Order: sequence, then C-alpha cells, then structure tokens
Amino acid sequence: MADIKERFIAEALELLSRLEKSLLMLEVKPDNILLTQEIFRGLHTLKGSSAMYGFERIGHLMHLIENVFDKVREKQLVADSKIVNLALDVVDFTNKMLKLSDDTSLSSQEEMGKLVERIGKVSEISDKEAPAVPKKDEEGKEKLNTYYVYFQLDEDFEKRGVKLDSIFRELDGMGSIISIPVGSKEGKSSAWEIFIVSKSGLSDIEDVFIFLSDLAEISLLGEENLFLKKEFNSVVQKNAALKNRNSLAELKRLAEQKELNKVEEIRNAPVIAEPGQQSATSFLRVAAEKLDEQMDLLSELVTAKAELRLIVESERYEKLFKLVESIDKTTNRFRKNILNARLVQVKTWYVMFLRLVRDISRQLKKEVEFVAEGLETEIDKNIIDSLEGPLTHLIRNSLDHGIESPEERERVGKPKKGTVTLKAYHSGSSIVIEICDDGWGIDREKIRQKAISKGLIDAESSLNDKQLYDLIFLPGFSTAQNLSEVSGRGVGMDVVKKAIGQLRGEIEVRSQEGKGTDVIIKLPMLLSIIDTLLIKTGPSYFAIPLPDVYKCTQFQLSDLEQSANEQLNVEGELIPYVNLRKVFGINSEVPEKQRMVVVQHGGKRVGFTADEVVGEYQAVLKPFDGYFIKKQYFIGASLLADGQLCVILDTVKLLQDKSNKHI
Amino acid sequence: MKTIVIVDDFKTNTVVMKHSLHQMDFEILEANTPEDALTYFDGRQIDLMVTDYNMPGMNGAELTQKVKSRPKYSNMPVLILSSEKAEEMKRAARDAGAYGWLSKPFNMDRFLKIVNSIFK
Repeated sequence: MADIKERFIAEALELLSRLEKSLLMLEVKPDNILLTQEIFRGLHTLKGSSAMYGFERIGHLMHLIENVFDKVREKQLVADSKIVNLALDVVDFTNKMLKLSDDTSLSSQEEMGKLVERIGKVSEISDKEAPAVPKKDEEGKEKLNTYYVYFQLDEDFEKRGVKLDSIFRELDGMGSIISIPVGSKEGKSSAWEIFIVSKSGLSDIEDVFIFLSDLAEISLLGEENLFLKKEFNSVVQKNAALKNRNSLAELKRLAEQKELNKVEEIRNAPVIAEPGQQSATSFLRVAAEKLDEQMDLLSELVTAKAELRLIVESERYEKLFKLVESIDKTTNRFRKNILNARLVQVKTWYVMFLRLVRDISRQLKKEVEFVAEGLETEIDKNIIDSLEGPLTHLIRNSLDHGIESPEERERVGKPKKGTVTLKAYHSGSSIVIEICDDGWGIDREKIRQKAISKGLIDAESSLNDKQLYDLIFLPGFSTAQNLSEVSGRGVGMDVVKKAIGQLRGEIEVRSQEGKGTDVIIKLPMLLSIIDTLLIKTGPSYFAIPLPDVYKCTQFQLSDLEQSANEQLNVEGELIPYVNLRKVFGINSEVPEKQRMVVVQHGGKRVGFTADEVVGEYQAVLKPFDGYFIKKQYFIGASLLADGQLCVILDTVKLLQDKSNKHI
Repeated sequence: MKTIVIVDDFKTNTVVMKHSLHQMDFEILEANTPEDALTYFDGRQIDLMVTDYNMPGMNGAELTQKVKSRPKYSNMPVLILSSEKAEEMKRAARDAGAYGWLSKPFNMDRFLKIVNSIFK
C-alpha cells in the first residue's frame, strides 16, 4: 500500500509540474483553448485519483478549482492573472501536501480553508457541496446512508442488454439491500422498491442504474441507517407485507422524524465489508551511490580488459581475439547504460525557474520573459541537484540587478520586456550552462571604485575585464545600491563560485554595458571513463577526449620549423597549433614525420603535435592529487594496459590559452 | 482465462487495477493512451475493456465506439471509469455501447465486484 501511495505521489507531482507549466503559459495566452482544456483535464485526473489514494481533501480542492476552469472553458470566466495566481497557489499547496504525504494536518486545513474561500470568490460558487471526505461518526466509523430506489422495467429491457441479476448483485455488494417486488406481469416482477443501506455516496448508486436512468428513481432518504428507526422500519415492513408501494413523501417524512426509541437490531442488519486491502506493486528506485559503486567496478573491469587485450595481442592468442572484441563491446554498452541511468534532462529545472522569474519580476515590478535553450541536454543527476541553488541565485541577480525597470528600458530604446535566458549545452567534454540577461550590464567603474574602497585593489592597479569581473566573486562584494530582499546582501556570488568549484567547474562573467550580462558555468562531465584518442610524443603518452577531435593529419618537421606564429596550413586553413614538446618540456629527438591532431571547440580549432597517433583508447580517469607541473592542462591521468601513465589533455583549456597567446 | 484491457492516462491507476485484477486470475493488457489501447484490438480474444473517460486525444466513449466498430468486439462489455458527473457524458457512454459506469474515486473492492459480476 505504501508503495502505491508513493507511486501515486510521484505521478501526481509530475502532473502538478505540467499543470504549473500550462498555467504559466495560459497567463501569457489567456484565450488558448487547448491550454485551458489541458489544465482542466489535469485537474480532473487529480480530482478523480487523489481520493483513491487517501487524499480526499486534495480531491475536494481539485474539484473546486476544476469548477473554475470549467467556467473558463465555457467562457463564463476569463483566465486572468487572479485566476492563474489562485490556481498556482492551489498547485503549490497540493504539492506541499503530497510531499508531506498527508493532507489532513490542522495547519493545512486552515490554509486550505483560505484557498477554498478564494476559489468561492472567484467562481461565485460557494462551498456548499459536501467535502469529499467520507463522513465519520464519533467512533470514527464511516457513516451509513439509506437510499430508496423505485425501479420499473420497460418492454424492451432485455433487448437493451440489461442484466437484472447483475444490478442486484452490484447493489448487494455496496451494503445491505431490501428489495420489494411491487408490480408483476405474467408472473414476473416488473417493478421493485429497493432500500439500500450503504456507505456509498449517491453517485455510486446512480452509477449502478447509469444506463437505466429513465427506469429508476433514486433518492437519498437520510444519512444514517433508517432501519434503526422504529417507525420507519415498521412502515416499510408493513407495506412490504401488503405489497403496497411506499410513498416517497411519506418515507422522507419518516426519515426526518426525531427518533425516540431505536430498534436494537434488525434482521437485515447491514454487514459492510471493509474495503479490501489494495495490494502493493513494486517500482525501482536506486540510490545514486549504488550506481557510483557500479561505475567504480566497471572502471576496474575496463582496466583488466585492456590488460587482457595487450596480452592477447602481444602473444598472438588468435583464438582469444574474438572474445576480447566481445568483452569490449559489452563493457562499452554496460558503461553507456550506467551513465544513462544517471542522466537527467535540464528540463527538470524549467518550470521551477519559469516560476521564479515570474514571481520575482512581479515583486520587483519588472517585465521579464524567461527563455530556455537546450532543455533536452542531459546532465548527471548530481550536477542537476547541486546547480539548482547557484542558478537560482544567478537568476535572482539578473532580475534584481540586471534587468532594468520597464520605464528605464523604454527610455533607452530597449523593448519594455527584458529577457533572462538559460542555455544548456555540451561542449566537447564539458557541460556549459549560461544565464544571460539583456539588462544594464556591469558598470566596470562602479566595481573598480567599490573594490578600491574595500581595499581589495590599489587605486593604481590596472585590471582587464576578466580580472575586474572576478572581483564580484570575492566574499562580501556587492555593488547593488539598494540591498533588496530578492538577491540578498552580497553573500551570494562567492557562494556560487564555491559551489561551482566543488563540481570542478569554472564560472565566468561576460558583460557589455547597456547590453547585458552573461554568466557562463562550465563543468567537466563527471565521467570516470572517457573515450580518447591516444597519442605519443617522445616517451610520453597523451590522451585527447575523442568528442573534441576534428581530424588527424601529418606533416614534415621542416614545416614545423618554418611556420610563423605556430600556425600551420591544414588543407587551406591556417590552424594554430600547440607544440606539446615545448609546452611540456619534452627533450627527446624529434622524428622527421610529425602528426597533428586537430581539435575543435566552440567554433575554434587548434592542433596538437605528436610523434605518433596510437589509436582510440578508453581512459579510466584518475584525478590528480597535490602538486603537478602544468596540472591545469590535464583533466586527469590514466594507466595504460602495460602499466604506463598517460595524461588526458584538457583541450578546452589549451585551446583558450592558445588563442589568448598564453602559450 | 479472461482477457481485460485497461486504459487510463494516469499510470498509477492502471498499475493498481492491473495488480488487483491479476490476483483474480485475469490476463491484463494495460494502456496509458487510447491510441495504445486500440492496438490491442487486433482480432485477439478480449473479454472486457475498462477505460477512463477523460483522456487526451479521445475520450472513453469515443474509444468505446472505435473498439465496438471492429467486428470481433461489437458485443464486448465496456466499463467506463470517471469522475465526470455530467449526464451528457454518461449518455455518450451509453450510446457508444458501454456496459457500466463507475465513478471515481472508487474502492478496489467495488471495482473487482463489478468486474466479476460482468463475467457471471
């Protein structure tokens, strides 16, 4: 049972998140009929299902808000921001209740009361309808109802496929029934009076006669077992004996009569079965640590496999070649599977940030649109979780300090509505997340003055843009003139930087005054096995992440010696190259024939010189500890099958430094 | 063994129904969209369809009509589940040839009783 409830909660939360998204879209396009229908259907589904899994109050709330959207659908109401706000609040509240797995706490009742009141005001529907919570008497037992049905068959009931016995069986299953035949034709009964004492609601009884609604009159006589009332009981028994039809008015009168002497018990005392225990089903959730452990084990397997391959190849165990191939393929698939299991689409952030932008821009009285690009980009679940806080902070910053007020924007000739964009994409072996706004941009002079006044830099020091922007990330640095409650008190950016650092990532700010600010976060994919191209220069092995490789080519040593500015003509294109010998101080003899691996990143290309291209290699990544020369150019190291060490080049960093002429 | 097709776009519901019906020794085919449900009606023996009313693309009555228009299934009983109260929906379901209607929320006991009563 607990499993089912959990499963329901997970699915309902998903549905709520879709609802939230649709509501936010509806706010922008209030006449979109498809959106309204989608919202209506979502609410409807929640209404029907919540009560089945123990959330009667949520079901009731959904019912009320569904009525509002029914009116929207029927064009009796317009989905203005008041209605959307209300619906969003209902969604939030429901979210909270589901996450607590309880919708019955006292504090929630109060909150729900307020929501119900607001819904009442919007829809002008008062909450007269009985809440969906089953009524319970003092002992906590569900209350019984007594129903009266007059049921008369018509001529062609058999043709209509009516199965009498199944109707009576169904009623019997709902509680206890007394059926009294009151009319007969050719010895067969054709009409019945049926009394039903049941916990079920009126609609359940109506369902039984759903396709016979023209043949049956159904009334609720009272919300108790009326057969415990002496007078009611005796009248019914008497009429039954005389085969007289009861009058509904008389029955209702008797039902309402104050009871003086209750009958101890009647013969047909209702025996009502408890709802059967719903059986559990299983679904699988795996702790992230277990997947990590699998990855570690796989890393060991990959290393062992490489060793095996080396032995097989050097000893020419030809019979084993095929086997090694197949182990190769399987470990590859295995690795992809494990990685996939951990990947989550960036989409999971979308609704959350959409809502954030909406709520905060309102609070700040700004008009801001939130745009997201690359939502389908898949990122490791750990990263998704760890980035949530930092990104929230960055977006708040953009809204608070970046985007101007609508009046200011109009004054400088920008569209009144500002834009905050979230971009996510893979670039080579890293993941890039950008938060961009089209606001003020960063006032360099202001930062400079502030830094001087705080004693962070000297008045004379000259800083380039990057160095200047980096000041923002120092603890306690804030240039906002009015500290607002939105983006806090300058405690943010250093915390953001720290969080990114913990993920081994980098954060960079680019800004153009008057045009906007981009914050770029670059994270290494936290992979412990990466596909690389292995090259050798002198005695040293280097591995280049395979996704970055653009092409391999070869040239003569003399070309290298004659080239100006370390650029080589590769098929008509002048490509700058990194001389690995020079950068890493390798002094061995240079062979006459040189190779070059061209790497591409963000539209830029750079070559790496090599003596030899060894081939593709799956590198099991081991991070460096402590001091290591030129460490900044390596992602990590890996052991080759023969026990030699190879380093994995951080091609992105090398490319950047090359184009900035640092190397 | 009787075969039942259950259709609901809210997965938890199909999972719970499937599980409960399984224990009563029914063969269950499960679908979360009306389109998927239709693919089951390819001529094989199916003894009952239980479907949600409110679904994207096609409602339960429309689905019933589509299924019943296929020769082998014109007499197959259909049970519709819904939290809809509107009479016209129920009428639409009846006109489409549905056998019964069960209001959501319902308890599993009642659901199982009704399913069993259909086969008795």
